[in-house]
Amino acid sequence: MEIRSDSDLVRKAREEGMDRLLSKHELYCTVCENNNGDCTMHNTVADMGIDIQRYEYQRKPYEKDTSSPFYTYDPDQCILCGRCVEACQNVEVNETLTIDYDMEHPRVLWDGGRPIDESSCVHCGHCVTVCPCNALLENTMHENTGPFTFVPQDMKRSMVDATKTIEKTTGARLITGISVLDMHWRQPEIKRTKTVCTYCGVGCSFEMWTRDRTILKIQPVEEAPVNGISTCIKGKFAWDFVNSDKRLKTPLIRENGAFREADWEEALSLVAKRLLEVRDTHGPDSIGIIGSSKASNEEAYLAQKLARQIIGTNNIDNSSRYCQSPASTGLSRTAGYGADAGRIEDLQMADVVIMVGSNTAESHPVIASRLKAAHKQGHQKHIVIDTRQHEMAKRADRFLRPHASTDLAWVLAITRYQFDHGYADLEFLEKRVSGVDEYRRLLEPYTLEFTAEVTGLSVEELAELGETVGRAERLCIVWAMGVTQHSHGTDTSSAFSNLLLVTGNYGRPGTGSYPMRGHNNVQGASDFGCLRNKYPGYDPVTDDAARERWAKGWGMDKDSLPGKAGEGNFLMVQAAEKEDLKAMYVIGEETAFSDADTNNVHDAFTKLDFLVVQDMFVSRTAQFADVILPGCPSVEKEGTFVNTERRIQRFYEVMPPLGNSRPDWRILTDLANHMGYAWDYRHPSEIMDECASISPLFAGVSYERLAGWKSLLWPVDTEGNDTPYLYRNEFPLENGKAKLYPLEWQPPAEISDEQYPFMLDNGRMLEHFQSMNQTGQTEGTLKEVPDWFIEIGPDMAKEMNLEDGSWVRVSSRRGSLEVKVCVTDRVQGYTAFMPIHQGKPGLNLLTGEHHDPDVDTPAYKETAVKIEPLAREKGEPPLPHNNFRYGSRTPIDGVPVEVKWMQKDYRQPPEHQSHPERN
Amino acid sequence: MAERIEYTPPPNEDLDPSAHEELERLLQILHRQGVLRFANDVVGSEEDLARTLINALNRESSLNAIQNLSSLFLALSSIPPGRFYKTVFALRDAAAAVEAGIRSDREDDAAPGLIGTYHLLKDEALWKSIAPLLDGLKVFHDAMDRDVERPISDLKNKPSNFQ
Repeated sequence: MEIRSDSDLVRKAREEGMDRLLSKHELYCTVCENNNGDCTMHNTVADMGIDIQRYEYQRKPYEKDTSSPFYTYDPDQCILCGRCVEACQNVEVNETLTIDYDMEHPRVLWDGGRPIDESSCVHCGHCVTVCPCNALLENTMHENTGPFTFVPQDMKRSMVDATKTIEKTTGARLITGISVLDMHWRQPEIKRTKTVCTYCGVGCSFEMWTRDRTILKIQPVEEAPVNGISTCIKGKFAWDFVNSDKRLKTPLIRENGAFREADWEEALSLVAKRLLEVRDTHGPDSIGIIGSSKASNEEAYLAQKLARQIIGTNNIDNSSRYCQSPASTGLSRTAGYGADAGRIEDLQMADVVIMVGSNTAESHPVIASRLKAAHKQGHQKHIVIDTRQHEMAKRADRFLRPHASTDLAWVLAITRYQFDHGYADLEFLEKRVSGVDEYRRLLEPYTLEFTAEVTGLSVEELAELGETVGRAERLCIVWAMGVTQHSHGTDTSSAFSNLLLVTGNYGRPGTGSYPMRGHNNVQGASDFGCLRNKYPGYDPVTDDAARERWAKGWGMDKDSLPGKAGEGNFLMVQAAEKEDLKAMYVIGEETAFSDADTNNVHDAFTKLDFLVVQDMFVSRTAQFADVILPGCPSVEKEGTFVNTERRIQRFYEVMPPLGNSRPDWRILTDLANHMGYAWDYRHPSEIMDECASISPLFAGVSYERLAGWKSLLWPVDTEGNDTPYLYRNEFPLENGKAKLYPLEWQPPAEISDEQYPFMLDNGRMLEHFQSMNQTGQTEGTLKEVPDWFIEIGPDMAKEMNLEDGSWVRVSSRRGSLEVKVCVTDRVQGYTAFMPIHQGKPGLNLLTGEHHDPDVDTPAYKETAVKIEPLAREKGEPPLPHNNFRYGSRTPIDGVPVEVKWMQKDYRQPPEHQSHPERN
Repeated sequence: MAERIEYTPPPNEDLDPSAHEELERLLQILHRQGVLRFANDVVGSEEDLARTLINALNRESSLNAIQNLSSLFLALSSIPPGRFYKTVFALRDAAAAVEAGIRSDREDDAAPGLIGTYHLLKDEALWKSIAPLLDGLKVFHDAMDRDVERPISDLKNKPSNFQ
């Protein structure tokens, strides 16, 4: 086939097409916020050398939609290309945007015609990113981008009118020439820097556009290996915290019951002196360090090096302990690595995806989009198993709602079903798996009938699930904190892995285990050694050979490195409470808020002899500190992160550190120097080089190989070859075989009873992150979800005579708090739900210290509560009426352009059109 | 015993660049592009350059040019663009027609031969000179005898209702 783009017919058709677009889009590029070099409309007009447009530009009878706090839609500039609709319907798959070409004046519609902020729009920003002009524009761009865009609107109008008059004589080329100049002179001011998002484990990367310290916008690019053009509300819009007044700009020292400002020399000298004093007085294990799951790999590496090399303890951990340690351990003891088996791309290739305890659409929105797209295209089946009917559950082919904390039972039953019904992959088991006979024996009690009794699922539902699993050619299992934050989360994670092994769903594209990592670098913090029992690259601290290798790498004697595992953060806090631990160094973690049983945690912190907190803000943890060291967000430093799929990505400095704050790797280096160790890192790349030279897992990782949009999935060999999916040929366990880890179901550590009849589920919301130190400083995200609340189902609301906005007291066996009620069908019966983000005391006033004995992860999800109505006047509903959760989506297959073509007066270019503004 | 302490950091200083910082940046760019060097050269030449410019300006031809340009601007400001476009392009086309006539071979053109101008009209050389001017006048007339609302549309021969 020969395609020509330069024939007379094609040229005329192109001109006619452009003339029609210009009847819908007014060119005023020099005063337009979008004329920054990537405006498709402007650049096309310039490239085609258009002298004059055939059709008059016509306004539409609509006002700009400015209802969203994040972006604006201007119908008068919209060319009705449908890109935004396609992005919303088939990339993000939120299914909010449509175009009705049958309207007298077609425009983009939200939920069929609602204002943006009263629709189902989740503010993911896809539509804005793909808009080829300024019809959809980030509010942060308004008046901000060019030297003339700040001109008041009425003056802009006069300038545009005058220019249009002159254009009648001069033609458009002269005017376009000026706007091309304008586009060029904007470039030196607008800085575009690649960064990696810090809001979850998906690992979205994008360009951050800045002018000095002003963040103009987040611009996703197709080259981004994980997300392409995709983002979520937080990644696209919630970056105001970077320039927040609440940022710490200088070190603080506790003195006479107050904090006073100090310079770095004084603060670092004090920290070094006190830590060394505690070490020398009480021993190395009297100090605990918590590394950050939000900071970089290099910073995690230095935190563990500080603990091991300088302090001499393995008391080093990260917040994986609170969420994903059960999954990591469950996977490492069955398949070998505590990480996702494949890529997000593999998830898209599966024909069946089972999601358990994962509110993917809110906690990992971009992965959810990929799954929703595969599902919408019809080549993937979704099974969701959860106590709460979230978005993925509503969209699923099958939603199962077992009793809380019974997942292990049904996984064992479904695994037995595979053996009983001939679905087990016996060849795979024979060649690649050990422990099969023993595991099969252990499965004997888990009949469908027994399991139905335990889980509350019917025998038919379980059998159907067993059939779906057995018949799947490529099965993936996704899980998150709805599984791991239980007293037997490690066992359930192991059971998922065992099920995948039994069905041969490892080592092939489109298969495997996918625990969803919560924080942006919770995977990397563990990978790079912030673990009580592992060096970077998962070398055991108890392994002599590994200890020798690391000692040699750090230029020290093997016997100087501690040879027994330390304590994780959960046990460190308990040790502090018992006054066994004397000092702690907490880097970028909100332990006082996120650890279970808040009262005990606070007690523990008050008992420490010395607490150092390194953070961007005076967090609740920092309020207990003796010294606070001001660290930097990712955009003020360089480094690398590892996302949920083991992908290492590099991020660059967007702007210099605020005030006297410093990059965390620099603080750790300076502190080591103050403690008498000659660390001489001048750039994070040198830290990575050191780690790669010692750890086989990262042998071929270097900043050169990660430059720009390049990335590597570990393990990476010395030649730089990475590993997109694990276990292709062998498992990194004995004889290269995976192991079916023996398991049996056990009841949860805390259950409901007459006094505490509800089980309190808890988790993230799309709009917020952690304790809202970051998202709480973006006006828009606060506006979307201003209040805290407890979700209860309509059935219980009716029984208890509660409505949206009613006040209740929620009490557990440990504490109580007062919140408003949100009545929703997302929950039912004696299941309630609370977000983890808000509240002065926070949710963990209710949670307890019962935990998974294998990894010491608190069983946050095993919290029994009672709910008592308060005699207080009902307030506004805690979720505003315009929250996206109340919107009505309008799913369609794609842009209905054929409707336009079928209209009687439609003429195919190059024929001329009587009403070009309509089509 | 480390009790909790509430602490609010002081607000950020202005995060936008100060006037001094903007000025410094401008100076850097001007310096890098050689503009400052040129400006220094110009200013450094002081009276010599000024005297040269004033002498050049004070010549009769320069003053004439300024005054004539002023007259032209005054006239231009009073003519609607459409009419001016027509006139200018009619003149252009007329001139083209005149030139074409001059350059064409008029050997076979016959003179009209009216009484009273008999001798004049018998002058073949003269007629050859006048005929192209008449052609030009015809073209000029045709060009002026039409409406032009959007000159660029007329120029590019592309209909438009662009406002």
